[in-house]
This record gives sequence, C-alpha cells and structure tokens, in this order.
Amino acid sequence: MILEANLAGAFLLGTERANLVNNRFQAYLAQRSLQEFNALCRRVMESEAKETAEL
Amino acid sequence: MNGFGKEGKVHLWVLIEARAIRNGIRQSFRMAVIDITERKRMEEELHERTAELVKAKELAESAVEAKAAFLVNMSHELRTPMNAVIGFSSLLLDDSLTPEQKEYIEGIRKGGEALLALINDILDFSRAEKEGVELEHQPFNLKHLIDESLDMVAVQADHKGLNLAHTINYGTPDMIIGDYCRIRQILVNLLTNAVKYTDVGDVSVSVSSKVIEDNKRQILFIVKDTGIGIPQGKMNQLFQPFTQLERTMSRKCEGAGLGLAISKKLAELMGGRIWANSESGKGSTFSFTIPVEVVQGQQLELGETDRGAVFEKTLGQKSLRILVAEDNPSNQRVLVEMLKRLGYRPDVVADGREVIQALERQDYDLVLMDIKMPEMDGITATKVIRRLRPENGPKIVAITAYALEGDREKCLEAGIDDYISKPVQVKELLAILKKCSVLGVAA
Ligand SMILES: Nc1ncnc2c1ncn2[C@@H]1O[C@H](COP(=O)(O)OP(=O)(O)O)[C@@H](O)[C@H]1O
Ligand SMILES: [Mg+2]
Repeated sequence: MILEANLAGAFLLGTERANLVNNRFQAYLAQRSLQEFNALCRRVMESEAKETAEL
Repeated sequence: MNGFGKEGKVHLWVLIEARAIRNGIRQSFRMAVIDITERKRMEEELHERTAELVKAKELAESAVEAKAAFLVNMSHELRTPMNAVIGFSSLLLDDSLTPEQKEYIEGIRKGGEALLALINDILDFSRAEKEGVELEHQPFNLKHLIDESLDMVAVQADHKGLNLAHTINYGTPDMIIGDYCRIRQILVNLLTNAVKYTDVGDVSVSVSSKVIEDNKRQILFIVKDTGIGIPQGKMNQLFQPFTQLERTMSRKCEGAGLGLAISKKLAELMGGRIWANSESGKGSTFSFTIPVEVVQGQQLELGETDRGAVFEKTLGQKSLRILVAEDNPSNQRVLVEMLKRLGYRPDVVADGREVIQALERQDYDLVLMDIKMPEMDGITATKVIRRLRPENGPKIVAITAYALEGDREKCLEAGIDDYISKPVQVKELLAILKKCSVLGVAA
C-alpha cells in the first residue's frame, strides 16, 4: 500500500499523486516483475541497509 | 513497471532503492524509484550489436574454412582428369607419328603437366590455409632430407648445367624430430626456384643449427643461387600468394606464384620463419628456420630402424639389383639414365620373355616392368614369374602409360606389387626405391 508519493513518482507512473496513495504498489508492476519485487521486500525487512532491484 | 508516457501506457524499467523504516509496530519502506529505461535500452542494443558481431565473425571464419575445403576438394577432382590427359598423350607419343603430330601432342602433355603442377600448388596452399593442420612429429635423418630434396631438382639443374652443392655445418644433429614432408616441401620449393631463376653458376644448400634448449634446436636452411636476383623494391611482395615478379618482362618461367606463399605458411605453421636477401643480377639467398627436437642417446638406436635411416643405409650402398623391362628404346634410356643418376646400375631387357630368362640367370630385388611389350606383355610375364617362384621372388613394379582403375586390379591380380605411371618422374621412382629398400632390409 502506497502511503506517500512525490510528484516525480506520480509523473513516472502517469497519474496524480492522490490516485497513488492507498493503492498497492504492485498494481503498477509488470506481471513478470512481481516475484522480484516481493523478494526485494523480504530483503528490505531483514536488513538495515538499502536494497536495490531493477524491474 | 507499467507507466504512462506521452503515447499512453508504456513499459518502464526502474531501479528501486528501498530501506525499511521501523516505526513502532508499523512497518514501512522508503523507496526511491528511478527510471532507467534509457540505460536498459542502450544495454540491450549493445548486447544485440555484440551478438551480431560475434555472428558475423563466426560466419567469416566458416567462410574461410569453407573456401579452403572447397579448394581442397576441387583440386582433387581436377587432378583425376588431368592424369588422364597427361597419361593418354604420353601413350600417343609412344607410337609412330609425323613430326607435326608429335609436336602437338607434346604440347598437350606439357600444358597438362603445367596445369597439374598448378593444381598441386593450389591444393598445398589451401591445405596449409585450412584450420587445424596436424603436424607430423617423426624422427628422421636430416641428411636424407637434403639428399632427397636435391634429387628432385637434380635432373633440371643438370639440364641447365648448374652446379648443385650442399653443406651440413659442424654441430648439426643427424636425427631430428619434426614434420619431414613439410620441411622437405619448403626446401624443394626454394630449390626449384633457385634452379628456375638461375641460368649459370651454382645452387647450394647449407644447413646449420643453434641450441634453443636441452634437446631443442633451431635448424637454419639456406638456399643460395647465382641467378637473376630480385630487385630491392620487390622483396616484400615475394611471399604473397600469386606473385610473380617478372610477369610483365617475360612468360618464360611457369608457375602460379604460390611456391613462396606456401613455403611461408608451412614454415610459420611449424613455428619457424622464412626470409630472403638478394642483389639484382647477382643472385638470391632464401633462408628459413624450423625449431625441432633432437633424437639423443638411446633414441638414436631406435632411430636406426626408422624408415629414413634404413633408406640411408641401403640407398647409400646402392645395393638393389634392378632389372628394367621396356621395349621402347627412348623410354628405356630415360629410365636407365634416371636410375644411374640415383646411383644404381640396372640391367635392361626388352620384353616379358627376356625378363624370365634374366631371372633364371640371376636374382633381382626389383623388376621395373612395362605393361605393353611385344612377345610377352608385363602382366603375363608377372604371372609366370609368380608361378615359378611363389616365394622370395623379386618385387615387381609396373610402368603403365595410363593408370585406370581396371588396370590396377589386373596388375594386382597378376601379382604386381606396385605401379608408377608414365612419364616416369624421379620423385615417384624414388618413392618406389625407398619402399623397396625398406622391405628388403625388413625381410
Ligand atoms: N631464387 C630466385 N631468384 C629470383 N627470383 C625469385 C627466386 N625465387 C623466387 N623468385 C621470384 O618470386 C616469385 C614468386 O615465387 P614462387 O612463389 O615460388 O612462384 P613461382 O615459382 O610459381 O613463380 C617468382 O615468380 C620470382 O619472380
Ligand atoms: Mg616456385
């Protein structure tokens, strides 16, 4: 669930900031990227450091 | 990621950097989402381009391979009919002809021979160019290699009144391990050129060696002539394929201009080098080096039984007893002359019946037998000899004007061991004598 988004983010996704909030981020991902995004989330939860992924 | 560009929905590549923010029990992330679509696109393009290049390179390589393979096959195919052209025209020359007819047929034969030499050159060249050429690694006698190479140009040099000489410098090993045939091919190419491009004086070979490591030597061959020489400015073209320097001046020297290109390829294949020095009008010196291994100590004894050593021993003594059976006086003379030059003293008869009579008088190691003879032909004579002496008979080599498949069968059936085709060439004769010597000693 997206809590906040900046303007650039909304522009990137081609929508209004208001529309983003409370939507699932996954909704914007391509089907084939979902698994990798979930893996990223898991890594983030387990570590203190910054984690990255290319999707 | 699905995003929207100017043209509506587009697919984006994004880099997500995320960090967990722990805030009481509530878990959230801070994510930075960066558009990397452009970078990805470039990467992909690069990847594609690389793949294309790799493909193009592979294609080019296989094209070179295919070309070489094609040439090898093609030369083989061309050689067979050429042998028929040469063989049949030689056969015609045997019979009684008007001088004019003789001249025409001689022309056909000479043309055929020149073409055959050219085809052989192309075959050698493409063989050397093909990937993955396997080098021989056999022990052999260096002196034997030089003698054999000189033999191949002896007739030609003699014809031109040139002096052929050779020097083996002190310290050069007797037995070495390497690719006998390819080294000889280079040497023969250089010698052939030296004789071809020299009208008066000498052609000489000198061999020396330099230690590289314990049992490794660098052998240096130098072929020197007193011929027309090579203009300074033309030196760097010499080793290019299809190069003949005096093409514009005269066409008196035959050849395809491949000899030196082949020699260079072969020398480099064996890890050596080839180069030339010359002074226009004074003569040329061609040199090449080949790294080889020396056969030492115990191995030397082993080497004694090697074909080269055996050949040296028997040929050196010139102990083969040879009978030539040939009815045509000029062919007879040519053959006897060749054998004499190689150091043999053959006896001569003119038909099959006389062969049998001669064999009753004394033993021979080798009978060189013309097939087409009056009274009794070579095949019948062979059958009779084999019947009279089923064991320990002489080795019989047929001399045929044309070597057709069926004839070969007929020869072998009658008990003929081998055959060479007319016109007899020193090279082929030598091979037969060599085989014969090895067998003689082994028996
Ligand atoms: N010993 C030599 N003396 C003078 N010219 C030579 C000699 N050897 C080679 N050449 C020159 O180099 C050319 C290329 O030699 P080569 O490759 O053997 O071809 P080919 O013998 O078929 O002409 C010859 O045509 C000749 O012009
Ligand atoms: Mg030549």
